[in-house]
Amino acid sequence: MGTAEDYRLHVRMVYRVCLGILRDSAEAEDAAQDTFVRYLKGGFQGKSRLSTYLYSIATRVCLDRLRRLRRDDTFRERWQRLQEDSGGAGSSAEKLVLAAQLLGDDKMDPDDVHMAVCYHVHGMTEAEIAKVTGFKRRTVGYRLARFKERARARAGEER
Amino acid sequence: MSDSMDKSWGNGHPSAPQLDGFLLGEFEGAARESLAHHISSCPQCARKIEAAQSFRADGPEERILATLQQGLERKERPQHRKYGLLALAAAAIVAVLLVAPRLIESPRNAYNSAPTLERSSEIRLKGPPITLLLYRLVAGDAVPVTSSVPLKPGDRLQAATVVASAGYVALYDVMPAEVVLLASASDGLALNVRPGQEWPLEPAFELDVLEAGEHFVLLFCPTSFAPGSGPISPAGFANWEPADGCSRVTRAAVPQAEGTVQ
Repeated sequence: MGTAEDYRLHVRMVYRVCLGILRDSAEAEDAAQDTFVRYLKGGFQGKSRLSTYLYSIATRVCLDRLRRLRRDDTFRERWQRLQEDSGGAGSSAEKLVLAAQLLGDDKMDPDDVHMAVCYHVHGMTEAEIAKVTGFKRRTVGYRLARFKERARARAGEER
Repeated sequence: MSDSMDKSWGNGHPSAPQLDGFLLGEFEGAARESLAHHISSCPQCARKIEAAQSFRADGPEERILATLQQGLERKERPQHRKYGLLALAAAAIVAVLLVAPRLIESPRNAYNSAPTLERSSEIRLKGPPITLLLYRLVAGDAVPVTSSVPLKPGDRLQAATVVASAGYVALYDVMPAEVVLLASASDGLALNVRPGQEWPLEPAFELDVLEAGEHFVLLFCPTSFAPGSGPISPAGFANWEPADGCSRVTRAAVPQAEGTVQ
């Protein structure tokens, strides 16, 4: 990120990522700002491409925000409706389960959820996730499998 | 970092960050050509590219930049915590645009997504003039490591340190076959840790398979030791003589060392 224009383009990308998760322009703007605060505070070590790193941080910021916002009934209902209208976080049943998990399970490990969103929603590989999270690749694989298992179990409970 | 794109596509398509990276010019040479070829022949990815290019938000990037700039202007008289953070962030914008991030000195600045750490009165590895504090990151919380809950492989840990005098700090994992630099204060040992505050050691790390003989070493030097010139092998580490005034705190392999301080 070398010039002001580069910076602006990255901000736009991060805002788009946040809007895709939060579905609320004001919340997405705050989340994008928080993402850059974290970036500027020095977390990027060049182990991945900058866009991948920013995707990861933005996702983490948005998930943290979602966990807080889900206590707001109005936001929760509106977010769920928007997710359903758009086919969930993506289009597969797994992503719908993921959306349910995000709003319904305090016991889910935030790292697992973060990795799952990076993998299922952003299409990142286990290797990419490992680079941006600092976990070993086999740990990422294990956690993704654990998340999937728990998500399916939860979906079974809800049926 | 490898840009061997074909091998890194998980499901036959580039990931969303890779497509954005393509738009932002992060790829060059064969990797860029490979991506361009895929996008031109894949309607699904072409649609994503088009959507990203046509995304026109209502000027949020300008507002975000303006807000960060406001933080810079308020740096001398922070109104509240948020603006304090913004001031720090905005102060670094110049560095981002011109050189590189990571210039803000804050005892909390390396935690990133990790939760705020509280001082622990539990296990501390003390060996003047440094103290190592370990926290287990569990479901969004940083829990001080105590002797009542043994560490185990799979635990994610955040280390922090308190020093009695200014210096440089790094935490190593010394295994039978290799030595790994686990974490350090800020970036690349470049930050001179000041005394009297708890400083995070970045990054957080995960305990993987633990080996017999494995142990952690927290190294402190009042003057800089250049990264790369330090210990790189177990034997080298054992025989390594740090500069005058350096000291180290050692903790034996985790499974055998619950509650013990060496």
